[in-house]
Amino acid sequence: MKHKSSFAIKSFGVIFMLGTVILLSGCAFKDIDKRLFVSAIGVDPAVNGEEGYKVTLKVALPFGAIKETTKPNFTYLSKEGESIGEIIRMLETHADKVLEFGQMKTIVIHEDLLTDHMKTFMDYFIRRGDIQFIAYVAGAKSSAEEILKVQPDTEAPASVSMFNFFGDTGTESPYITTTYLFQFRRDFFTEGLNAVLPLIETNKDQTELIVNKTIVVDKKKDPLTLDHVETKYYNTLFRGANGFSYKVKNGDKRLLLNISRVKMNYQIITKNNVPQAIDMDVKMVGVIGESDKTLSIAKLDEYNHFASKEVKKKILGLLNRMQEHQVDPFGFGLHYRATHLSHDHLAETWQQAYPDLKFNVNVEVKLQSTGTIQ
Amino acid sequence: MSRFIYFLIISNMVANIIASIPRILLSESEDGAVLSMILALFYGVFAIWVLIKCLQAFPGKSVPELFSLYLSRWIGTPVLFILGVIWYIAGLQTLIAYVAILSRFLTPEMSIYVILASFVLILTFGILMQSRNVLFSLELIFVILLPFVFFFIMKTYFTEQLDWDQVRLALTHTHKVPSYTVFAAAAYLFIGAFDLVIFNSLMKKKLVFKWKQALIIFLLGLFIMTTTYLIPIGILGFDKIEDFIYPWISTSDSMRMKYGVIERVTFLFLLNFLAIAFLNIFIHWHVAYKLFQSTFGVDQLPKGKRKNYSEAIMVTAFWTAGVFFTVQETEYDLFLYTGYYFNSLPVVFGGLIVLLMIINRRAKRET
Amino acid sequence: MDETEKPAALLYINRLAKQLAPSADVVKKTLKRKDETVHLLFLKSVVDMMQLQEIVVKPFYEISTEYNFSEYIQSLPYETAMPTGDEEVLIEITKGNVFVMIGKEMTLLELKMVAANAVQEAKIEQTIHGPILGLSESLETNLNLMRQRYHQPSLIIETMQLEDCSNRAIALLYDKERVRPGLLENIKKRLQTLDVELVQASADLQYYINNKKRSLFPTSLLTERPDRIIHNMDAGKVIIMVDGSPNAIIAPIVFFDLMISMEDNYYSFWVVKSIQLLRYGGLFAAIFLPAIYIGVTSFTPDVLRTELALTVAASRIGVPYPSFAEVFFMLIFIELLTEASLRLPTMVSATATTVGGLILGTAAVDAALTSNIMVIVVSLVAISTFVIPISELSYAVRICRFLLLVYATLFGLAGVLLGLLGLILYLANKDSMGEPYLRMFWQSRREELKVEQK
Repeated sequence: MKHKSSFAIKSFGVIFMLGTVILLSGCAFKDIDKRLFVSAIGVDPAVNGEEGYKVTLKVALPFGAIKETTKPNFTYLSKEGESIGEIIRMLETHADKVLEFGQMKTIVIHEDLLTDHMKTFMDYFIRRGDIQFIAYVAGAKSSAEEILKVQPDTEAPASVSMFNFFGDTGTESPYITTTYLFQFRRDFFTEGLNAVLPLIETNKDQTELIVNKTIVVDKKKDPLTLDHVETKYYNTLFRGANGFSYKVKNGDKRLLLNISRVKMNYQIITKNNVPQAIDMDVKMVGVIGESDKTLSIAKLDEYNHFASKEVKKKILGLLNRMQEHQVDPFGFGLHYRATHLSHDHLAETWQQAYPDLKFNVNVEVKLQSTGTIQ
Repeated sequence: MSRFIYFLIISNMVANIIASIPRILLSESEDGAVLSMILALFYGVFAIWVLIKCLQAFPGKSVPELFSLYLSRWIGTPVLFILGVIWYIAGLQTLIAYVAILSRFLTPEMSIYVILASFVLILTFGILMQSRNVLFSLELIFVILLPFVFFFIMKTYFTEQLDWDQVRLALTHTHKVPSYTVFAAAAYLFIGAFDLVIFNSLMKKKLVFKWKQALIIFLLGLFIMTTTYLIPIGILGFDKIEDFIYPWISTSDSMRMKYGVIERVTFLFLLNFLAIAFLNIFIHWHVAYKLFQSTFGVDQLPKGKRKNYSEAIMVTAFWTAGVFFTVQETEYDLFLYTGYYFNSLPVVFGGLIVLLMIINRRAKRET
Repeated sequence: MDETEKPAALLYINRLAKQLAPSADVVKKTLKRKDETVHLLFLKSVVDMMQLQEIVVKPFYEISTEYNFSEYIQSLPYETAMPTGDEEVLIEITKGNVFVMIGKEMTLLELKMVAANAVQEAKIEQTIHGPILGLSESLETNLNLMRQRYHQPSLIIETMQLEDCSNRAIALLYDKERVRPGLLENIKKRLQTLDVELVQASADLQYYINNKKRSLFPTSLLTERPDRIIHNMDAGKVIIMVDGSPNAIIAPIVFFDLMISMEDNYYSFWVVKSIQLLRYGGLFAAIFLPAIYIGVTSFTPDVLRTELALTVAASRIGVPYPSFAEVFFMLIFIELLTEASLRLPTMVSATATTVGGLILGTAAVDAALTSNIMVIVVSLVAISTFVIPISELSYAVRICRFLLLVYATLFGLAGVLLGLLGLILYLANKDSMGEPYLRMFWQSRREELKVEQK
């Protein structure tokens, strides 16, 4: 019996396989050289017509011997239309090969589009299963198309330099904010937190990409740009970035501090469940990196003291500016919601209280040495 | 307790991380999901305890055998049939979910028939295997995969992007009134142990279920539940989490191995969980097959043509229904019907346990 | 002596001689001294003449009349049991026994001469450490080797005779305290019910013992190494030896036995574990690499990092065939190469591999018939196949590879994984003489089986 049934299974299997082979014709099988790898998407507002977008795809081209070529090879496809999905469908007719979005790692968005209606076009990227959730999202100054078309001198063949900026793969700097697609979606929809995106700019000759600013996106307001100093503080305090270096001035002394470890804690002080103030403790440990005067190890305490004071001023400046614009990239609101038992008016209470919150910042800088010399 | 029971329980728990359960749990995240899950945790451990207490007296006997020994055929046969259907659906819902996942994330261009076809041959073989070898292959595949599963789960906990404030936010909803659907779905995680209705025939040693075993299962359940529920919230955010159809696939897509051979964790995750989902389908369907066999008396038939034909008919019926439902059901249907299915389960298993208790008493009276 | 008995006995020996005739090597001798007569019947091609002279002929004339020559013959250690029936007696004679008849007393003396009893060097399963010599082609020598290496009274040797036309002697060896009950009966039954024309060596006996006619994975194993035999016998397995074959059969074999090299017993723990890990990695690569290549490049290139995806895509530029055709061609090419180098003498095979592997490979890439990534994959597969210690398994693996390739071509990456699961299920459901072919052992294998037996 066992023999028989296994024979039955086998013959069933063979017929079945043949059947699938016939079914397969023209299915998912597609060779890798028949695919085009889209490496980045840029979204701009439409130039002609009021509604709609202009989408630019940066497509990486494979070619012969990678070791022997020196320049990367890209091609660009762009088109205008009413919705992203529609435009991409149309763009598929502009290339002889299948557009493959699995390797698409950067979504660059024109800064004017970073308002409420970005919900409608971001939806496409989130909904599509084959687009990575770990794609980087970034804002573009002047235009996304321009940013995509920049081919920096440092770019190597068969790689995309834009990827190296983010996710700590290449350069690591406290000026660069990395925001993944999933993170952007999460922060965008979360009450009590504003999504933050890096801003990509380029120089006049279009030979360099510059990433050192960030944009705070709000559902109801225009985006707010943080300059590079604010970006640095934001990244060190809230994103755990390392390599913070800070210039402090005290009278005629100018010091550059290299901070290696930063610890930040905050607490929301409430009264009858209504938030009153935020107490923030910041601890920084580091060394002195540059000075225009001779330093003395004995005086480290003194340096600590005035460094703390300077840093505190800057942090307070950042917090107050955000409060003024009523945006909350730090997630204070979320923290408030997360630490109180949920009820319907929690978010409202916070929104009303936020503009009048008091910030008590306590900074403690601890310098460990003056570097290799005094 | 035999290690295979743990395997059965864990494989079911892990397989359901990806299928329809997280969506049901997360759909009630702003309501009483947390409390329902805690209740389900206790209920699950309790149900396993009662089940094992009931089966303790009959080492080496499967439930169909017990039914034919101690119950009249008029009660036994319909109950076996209902159980068979329950187990069949248990496998089917995982299959449907996984076919949908594959066609959405791994090979979007592939037709649903082809994806189904890839399962047919191997699942059929699996269903027809000997029960003993089913357990052995479960163990083997499991031991190969478990390190990876553990790695993924640990990786999710230590991802930088995991926002603990979101997790805390989810826990602030603990005081909400529990919901029955979430309770039933969470209790489903423990159903793996009920595969014993068939596999008990292979458990020759007396089953032991004391505090130690209860604690192990409780902790396992706790770990899997918190992971299933809280990690997607921490990564995908608490607000609007209910929009995700497969929250765990999206969660895995949100993880990145900077220096991994494969950067996108989701592919390893998909394939790994495909194997576990396969195990789950294969075991549930094996049990369903055995139950149907005893319902229709096929296992009593002498070896020969008639037996072969009836087996072939049963497998064909399995697949006809399977293909029909996989192709027909939309994701919304799946969500809705699995909801109904889970809702019915605590009742059905309560009934099964009552029957087993009756059998226990009859057996005692007879001796 | 009884005069009336004599003709009957003579008649018998004449009848035997007649049945052996007209072979040239039949010798029928009658030794006569006074009133004593001894009839000898043997085949001179298989009997050691010197011994016969020393043991039978010389004493016959030297022994004094007071002593009974027949008693002397009976007391010789060379005696083998006298079977009933002409046919059986004749078979014994063809094996090298001397048929001695003194009056009506009939005795068989084993004075055989085996030409090929030299112990051979183990060539197929070579190890760096461990014994260099393998088995010989003589059953007696082999049994001697076994006894020499396994001094246990519980070692049982049972000889049987095959029911085919060669009537070879086969021996079953086992440790009676360790052998799994039921297994022995199973094997004996299988050997007795064997219905074959001719068994030449262990190899074809092994083929017949594998109950199923069509099977991919072996359930018994052929070995030439005495240390492997002892190792397995100690694990409770049964060894079958065929006279005239330098290989022994080990049965039953489960999957993990096929991944053991005898060297694993000679190195330190961590070294062995890492080598085993490497070996399983090789096994995995040998089976899956081509399938994964297809699944990744033709179905889900998203898996690759961008740089790698571009490199692979670039390497395929200009290749006219779809990836599965490319893989099939290259794999068949590599199989041809392997087969060819196996059959050729060692000197030539090196040239063949160089010409085939290096020159053809580069040329194929240059001519854009295949991508260079493919060449890397295929060579990796070929190398990994050689890591598998038992050649029976590596043949099975080579076939599995093609099956998986089909599955990958049809269903992509998910198909590869389902194929792997299918393979595991198939192996787990396979039965090797009552033992599951593939299963996990947590404690030592012996403990676990003992528990199950209860």
